[in-house]
Amino acid sequence: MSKINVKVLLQDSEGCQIVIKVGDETIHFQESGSKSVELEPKRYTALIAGFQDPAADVATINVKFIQSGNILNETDITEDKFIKSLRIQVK
Amino acid sequence: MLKKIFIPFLLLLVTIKGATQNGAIDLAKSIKEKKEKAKQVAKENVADPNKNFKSIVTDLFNGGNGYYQALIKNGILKQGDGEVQVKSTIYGLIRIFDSTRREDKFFRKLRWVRNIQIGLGAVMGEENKISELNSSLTVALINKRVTNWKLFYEEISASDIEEVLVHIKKATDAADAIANRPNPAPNDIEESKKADKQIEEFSATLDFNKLSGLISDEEIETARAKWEKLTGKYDDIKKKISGAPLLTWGYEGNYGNNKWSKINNKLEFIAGFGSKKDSVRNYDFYAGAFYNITQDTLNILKVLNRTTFSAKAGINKVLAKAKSDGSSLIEVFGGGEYQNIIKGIYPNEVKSAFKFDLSLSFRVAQNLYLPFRLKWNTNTGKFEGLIDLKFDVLSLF
Repeated sequence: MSKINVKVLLQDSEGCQIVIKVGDETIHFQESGSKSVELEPKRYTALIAGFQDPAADVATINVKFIQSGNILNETDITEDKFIKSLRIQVK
Repeated sequence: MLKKIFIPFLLLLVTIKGATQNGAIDLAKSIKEKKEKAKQVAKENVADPNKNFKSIVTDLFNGGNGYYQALIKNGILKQGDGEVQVKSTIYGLIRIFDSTRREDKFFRKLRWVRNIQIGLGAVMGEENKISELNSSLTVALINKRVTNWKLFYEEISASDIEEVLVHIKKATDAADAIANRPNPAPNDIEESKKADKQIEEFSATLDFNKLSGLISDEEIETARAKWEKLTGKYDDIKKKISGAPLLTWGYEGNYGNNKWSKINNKLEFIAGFGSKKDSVRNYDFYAGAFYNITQDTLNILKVLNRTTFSAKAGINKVLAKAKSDGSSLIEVFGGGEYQNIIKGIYPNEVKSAFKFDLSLSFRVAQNLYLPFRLKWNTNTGKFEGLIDLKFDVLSLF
């Protein structure tokens, strides 16, 4: 099993409601932060779904998957309601 | 509006110069004509300065609906010159110079600077030369649009979102299973590419039909129904927030030729209302009070010698919204307006007047509004019509 850090950064918003599912793990964010999950080495398609601060129309959420300091993949989300997929290859 | 006073003033000077050369009779005639013209313009300028209040006021403090705004007015429909203004909230300036302040932990602390907006501009005179500088300050004294954002936590929980993802994950698991096959054959690679493409297209469009073949039709319908229920709740919350009470105080002044030619103060309140049925085409209650001190064009020796007060209240209704971004396409405003000339009244001018005001604004292009205004003056018993064009450019630097 490998430790993967999932880092979420909110910009131009006060908060969010997002859920990230990757492998059998589910994590939840309402503000910027970092959480870790344990995954077997193989390819995954992570699902990132949720809603931005409804009072902030130019909000951005950046989501990064990091393994041993290396960014596996990342995405910037600008939509106010979204379901995004992000492929990562865990080593 | 002051530019309308400024032009006759310049014309008067030019006329005086010309008349001196052509004789005293021409001079007297010319001054009389110009006086009449200036008087008429001054009367028109008593009108309120808050045209298109909805498109301006609601955009500025809507919790981040753009932190910068440029306003360009020109005399397409009105005789005269142009005006350029650039406005920004203090937060907007901070984020230019320090992008780390955009992070949510700072964004929350900087809420107060998102409620203060400053502006600078120029009034263009003859031959597009700058005749005056314009400055403005607007402060949101009450801004429930920003403070009410947490409402959506009560309506949408993480488990609600997870319930949708459970179904979609079956599709991504299917795509991953194909991609993770050991020693993939050429058709496995093709199948994997096709599945990945379906997932990507779904992610980009949120068209649940793109998942067809990866999960059952029943699963697709269940996921779609759950997601639409959540997005419906979210959209309702956004509408509630965008219609929350907003009270602003503002100042705007023009300075040129070493003197102030206009100082306007305004206090404005706007709040949305209406039943849930009206949430798509909502109503707004609007009230504003204006205390304006301006330069009397007929008295060039003194400065700021005409003072007017006006108050306006009414209901604004968005009749049609763009399907793409929900922005207003047609708005109608109906209300009443009281005007009082405190100082600097002209001969034959009425000191105070009450008018019924009706205006219909069309968005003719992106951020370009064409308001048709009709007022009924209770003193004169006459209708006063006005057509204007306002180019409202919302740009993110």
